[in-house]
Amino acid sequence: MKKLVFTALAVVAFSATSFAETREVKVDEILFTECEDWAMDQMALQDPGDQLPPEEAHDNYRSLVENCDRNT
Amino acid sequence: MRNKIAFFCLYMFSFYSGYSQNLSGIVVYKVVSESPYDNAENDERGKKMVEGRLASLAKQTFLLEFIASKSKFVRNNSLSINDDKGEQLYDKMATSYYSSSYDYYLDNSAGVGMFKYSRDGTLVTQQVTEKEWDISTESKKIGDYLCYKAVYLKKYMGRDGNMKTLPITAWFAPSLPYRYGPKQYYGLPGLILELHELYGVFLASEIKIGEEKHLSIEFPKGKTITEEQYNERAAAFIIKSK
Repeated sequence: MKKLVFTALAVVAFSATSFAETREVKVDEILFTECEDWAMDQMALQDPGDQLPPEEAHDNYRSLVENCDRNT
Repeated sequence: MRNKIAFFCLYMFSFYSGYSQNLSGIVVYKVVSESPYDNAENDERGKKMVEGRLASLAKQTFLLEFIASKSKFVRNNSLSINDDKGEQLYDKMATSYYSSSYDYYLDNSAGVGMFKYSRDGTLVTQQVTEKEWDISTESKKIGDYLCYKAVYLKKYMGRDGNMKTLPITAWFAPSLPYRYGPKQYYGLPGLILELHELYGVFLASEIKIGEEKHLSIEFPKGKTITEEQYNERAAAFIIKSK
């Protein structure tokens, strides 16, 4: 089943090494929880043509994740 | 040709009577699913989710109110949802998947519309434009009303960020010559009694015409953004396939 990625999501780790204007920025690999993975599969199953508008899709995805988290 | 002339006459009549100063009406809509994916092969958790979503949908109703050239379309019973977090999640899934997460306001004489995102109260203004409905002679009875089929090709951004074209099918009753309907669907020469959108169908279950003298429709007050700004914001929620 195809996997989906939220382009809006980026896991960015900031690590300030000192107070002296130097700052290192790292972009890590995106990791999904088991429930997020399941919710993505459900989105692909329930809306295979990617036809839901973005806000509705996002609402639906977050609700799926929360619902899964509550029942796991 | 005769049908086209008849519809033109109906259109002109509905334009006149649909905007009459004394007009008022209230329509209650329920929503049912027509998603072909409700019964897709799924795991136990997925099946339970679909069942919960459908049960929540069955409790939802929406209200269309109109006077003269103004209308509003809002959720009718959202306050009846109890404090149970699980039920709230199913309700959220049902609105975003089948029915409507927005309240809609229309002022035809001013040429202005507004919608309100129910999650965060964002108010979005938009220009009212006539929708290009393709009216056919296909008809059916809904309750006591003879209704005709009309199709509008809606163009919008899908969750993958690509533009989609979705046929919206409406069944309208020329004997109720009011140019309103669910959500942002209006402009037909008769009230819309049935509307097929992406995965949900809006069905009129109660109609009251001319009985609500006290009705007053005001746009919500608050900070607004334009439709273009809203679309830019929505683009942040795009989900792309790998």
